[in-house]
Amino acid sequence: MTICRNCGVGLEDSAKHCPLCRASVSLEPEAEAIRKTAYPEHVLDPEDFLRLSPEQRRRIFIEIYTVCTAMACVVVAAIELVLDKRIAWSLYPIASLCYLYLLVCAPVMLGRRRSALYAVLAPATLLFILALDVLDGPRAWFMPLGAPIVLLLEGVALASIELIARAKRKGVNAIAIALLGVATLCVGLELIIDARAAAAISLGWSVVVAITCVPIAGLLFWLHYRITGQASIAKIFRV
Amino acid sequence: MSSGGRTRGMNLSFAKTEKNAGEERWYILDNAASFMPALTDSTATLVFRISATLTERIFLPSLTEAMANLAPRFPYFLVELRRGFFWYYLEPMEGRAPEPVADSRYPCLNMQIRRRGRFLFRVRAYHSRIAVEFCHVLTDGAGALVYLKAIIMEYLRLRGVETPDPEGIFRPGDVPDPEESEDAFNLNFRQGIPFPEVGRKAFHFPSLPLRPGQYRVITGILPLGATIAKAKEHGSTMTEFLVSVYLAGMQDLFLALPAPVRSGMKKLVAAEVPVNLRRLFPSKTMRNFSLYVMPYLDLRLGLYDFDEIIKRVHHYMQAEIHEKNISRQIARNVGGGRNLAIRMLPLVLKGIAARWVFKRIGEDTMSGIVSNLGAVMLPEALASHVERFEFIPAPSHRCRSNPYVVSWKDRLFISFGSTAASTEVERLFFTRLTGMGIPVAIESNR
Repeated sequence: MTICRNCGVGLEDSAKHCPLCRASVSLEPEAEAIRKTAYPEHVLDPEDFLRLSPEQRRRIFIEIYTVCTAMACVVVAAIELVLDKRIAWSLYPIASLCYLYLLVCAPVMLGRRRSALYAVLAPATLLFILALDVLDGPRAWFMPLGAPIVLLLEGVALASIELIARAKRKGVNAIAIALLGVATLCVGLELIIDARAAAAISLGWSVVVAITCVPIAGLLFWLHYRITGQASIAKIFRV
Repeated sequence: MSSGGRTRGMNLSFAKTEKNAGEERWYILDNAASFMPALTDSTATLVFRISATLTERIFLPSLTEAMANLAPRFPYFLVELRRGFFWYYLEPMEGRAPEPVADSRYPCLNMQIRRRGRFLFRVRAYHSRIAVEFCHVLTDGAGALVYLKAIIMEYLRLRGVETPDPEGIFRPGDVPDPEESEDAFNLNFRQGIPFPEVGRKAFHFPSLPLRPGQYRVITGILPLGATIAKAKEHGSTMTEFLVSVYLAGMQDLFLALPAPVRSGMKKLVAAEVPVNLRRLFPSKTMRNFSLYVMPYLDLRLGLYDFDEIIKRVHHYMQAEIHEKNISRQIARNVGGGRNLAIRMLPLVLKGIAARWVFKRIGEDTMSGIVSNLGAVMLPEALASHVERFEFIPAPSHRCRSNPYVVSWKDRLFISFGSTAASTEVERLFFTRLTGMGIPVAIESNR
């Protein structure tokens, strides 16, 4: 008789694992080595074996969300077809729903693999903006405005996320990084808009934002790395 | 039809828990279980346990086969809990047989009865022990013991032991008696009798709780003969004797508290003692059919020595465990369940009301529960293969340490189930017994 080391019960000789605790069993048990206590050492919840694994839960979520998105797309298109006998405006919500689908499902499917997530979401955002421009008729604003702004936004977001993720201690430094990101984004936005709309580039409102954000970010960095991180307040403010 | 005949007819109609809608079979909950699902949570599972330790290691395939063979014999146990609009009900899980599950360090926890596809009981195997854990929604200790005995006999038969054909042990292939699923409370309901008074609030020993997911069991093993002899010496039965020991311990705990703390405590210690009503009202039911009596000590009147306690408990229990007195409890519980206004309340509101009622007339009025399953009897051919039985109470938030008692052959097994960090209740109980000259061997899961 093969014996489970955890449960101490006898199993078929052909058993590879214990049906009760799922632990693997050896074919030549050392029965005398199996310690018998009044109760098992382990805390076991039988419900664990009935619960769905994270992978199963993920699959079920993706399946449900895919069906819901597909139904929403069909409903929107059907409404326009019935009312207007054509497909035109419904393409906007359909494109948005598809983009939203990617935004929701990519993190669920890829989990913590950040680089893969960027590789999917960055081109997808660009494509979504391009799709909107194409739906508008002749392509007019994607190349001069849409693409640079999206690229800038993605670059700033990516840099900020990476910096925050790589910080050893996360605290107010994350807010400081986000503020620097906002400042960079605003300056970049004004540059892109000026280059397209104005005759000359002149930085105005974005500088005000940057002047506000950068000192606050500096203060937060200082608080994070000097005050709470390395030095005691008594040392820093010693008279 | 006379009023007596009409009441009898109504009782029979209400007592039938098995219902048929076309070809579908389903069950209503018995009167005691009706509100129980609303009272459960991850710790207070209402799951109790009876276990039998055999003389030899459990062979799992035989246990699995024994459970599968016995499944058709207990159709009323092969159900899942469902929510209706007004009441919970039990839906048969056709084509599914329960299988044994692994034992855990902390018994009686983690039974998600409100989830779909879950049986309301389970059989756990560990070394040479078979344990059945039942949610009280399904049955009481007597029903669980019948199931465990059937499992033991079928398992031993499959292991090649010659099994006789004893009375009272269910065998695979027997046809279930319709009476086994009846609601015996409803059957024995008497209209127009006064309800029992609501008890005063009782003392609860203050202690920090154990961490969530933990449940301590301390089992004391005593010689049965010496314990019965000591009980007789005091002119009481063994149950009365053990209840007295528990109440005396509670009184000691109350006295040991600092005066400022004690002044804020209820000056009443009371123990709920479940009574198997099958002895008073003959019934074959396998559903819940037990109520309780509540011996108490009113500490406002002063302190009691042990002889006084045992005398009070003895006379109280002798007087209270009587058909007429118990009928008052049945009248209150069943009468409430039959009240049209209560029946028409949606389940959500019933749940809120049930929690309040359970707290006020249940947990608030008792310091703990002392339950004695009695002596387990098995035919000699089976008994020689069984080493011991144990009976473990369901975890409770309010009454944290409760002793459940069962006797087997010449030994008595008293298992305290506790959610309290302190072990004072257990210590006082067992040290009082050893102080009387009864040797106690202790086992625990912590």
